[in-house]
Amino acid sequence: MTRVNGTIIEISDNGGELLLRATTERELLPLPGQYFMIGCGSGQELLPFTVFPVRSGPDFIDFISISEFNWHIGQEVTFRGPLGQGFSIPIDATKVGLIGLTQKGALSLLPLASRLLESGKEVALATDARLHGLPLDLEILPGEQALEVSIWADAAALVITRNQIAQSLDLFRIGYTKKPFEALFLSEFPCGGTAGCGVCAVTTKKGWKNVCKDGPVFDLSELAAE
Amino acid sequence: MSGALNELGIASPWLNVPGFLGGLPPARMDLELEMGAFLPMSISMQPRSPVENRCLVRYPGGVLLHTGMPNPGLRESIKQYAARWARLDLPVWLSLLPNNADEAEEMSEVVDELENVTTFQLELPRRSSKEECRSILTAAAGEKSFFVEIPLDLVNRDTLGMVQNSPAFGVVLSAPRGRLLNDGKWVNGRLYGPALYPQVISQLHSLRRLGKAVVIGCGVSSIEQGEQLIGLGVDGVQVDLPLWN
Repeated sequence: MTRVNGTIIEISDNGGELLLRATTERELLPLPGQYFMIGCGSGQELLPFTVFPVRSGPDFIDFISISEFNWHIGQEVTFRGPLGQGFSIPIDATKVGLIGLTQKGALSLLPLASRLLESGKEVALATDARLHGLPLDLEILPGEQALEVSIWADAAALVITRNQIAQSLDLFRIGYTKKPFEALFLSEFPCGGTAGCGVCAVTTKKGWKNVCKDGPVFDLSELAAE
Repeated sequence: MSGALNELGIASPWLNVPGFLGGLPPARMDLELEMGAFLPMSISMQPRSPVENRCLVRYPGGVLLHTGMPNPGLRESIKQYAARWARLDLPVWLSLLPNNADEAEEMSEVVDELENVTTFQLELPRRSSKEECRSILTAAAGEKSFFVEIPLDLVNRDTLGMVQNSPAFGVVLSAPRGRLLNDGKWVNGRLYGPALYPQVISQLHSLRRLGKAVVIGCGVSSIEQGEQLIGLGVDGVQVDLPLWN
């Protein structure tokens, strides 16, 4: 398992969500949708935290944390990962709709948006988040147009929590039955895929699966309401 | 090296708490421990799904974990893992969750046939009467020695008396239950973390008086704490949260 040490060097408020930047001793290369477990060097926390990358470079990573914690500048951290299965938007999709209604949701989709734009696709993001520093060619639409975005797109990606499965299956049923439609679960993964402890488990049509290991990205059509 | 565990072919006192490493040991462990045996997730007779309000709640001193102990059930677990358990370098120590004496008997018989499974520990159903627990312990006696879990919050004269007079080879002091508020709702779960350690130490005397092997299965948050326990004469130490770091 890859472990990379880093130090928190910046904490900013991004529309009410803490965005953290850490320098890293080497480049972290997450695929869009993958996550890290981050431990604090001071040993003040018993368990590592689940974090999702927002952007990364050769010696830094910007990320959001799923759990609240008293992060501080200069804090030494260790990244374990990247972990899990990321997005697999089909290469032949030309128009991709992204749906991340919350601040965390929208931020966690930015790596995917950047990757898709770099490959020449049209990308629209439906969100109620207040974002800055976005790619100029990323089209932003209000969250209430999420359904329209999913209908316009050849393929779509959605950020979801366990409690939103039934609602999403209902709202996007026309979309996910006819086109690739992926769902990224944003939640805490205590064991980070080590144990399949079940805390993050979701119900699928083939029984329950651990999001930390089998996800955090699933085909929306695979999921079942509990 | 532990004498009691040695009798079972387990060469090191270091173990993992069931459920903290999944169904098979990881290819590589970051924690530098020479494990004596591998404990897969706890296994019930029938498959168990995660509970609806599953969660992890952090609190000062530890975490509460509420999962419902999901597992594929005994038959499916054997189908999925038994061949690989048989090939492991480490002996396998199962953790079983029988609901009653019939299940305990059946599970014990199945375990007797499993290659490289050296021993097992039993978690008694929490709501069962003393009489039912006694019959489960009696029914579990088979060819292989077994341990019985005593949750830290249930160490009392009644429980100790029942275990002392049972065919169990040893006891595992396991995680206590607790109740915390999570997202506005009260949730029950197992407690893990360093806050338990002083309580574990204070129960050692009672456990050792049973005259059975004693394994500590909660509250050990560092190698130093485990070494202290071994120094105090416990036969085995099961590690939990440090395995997830």
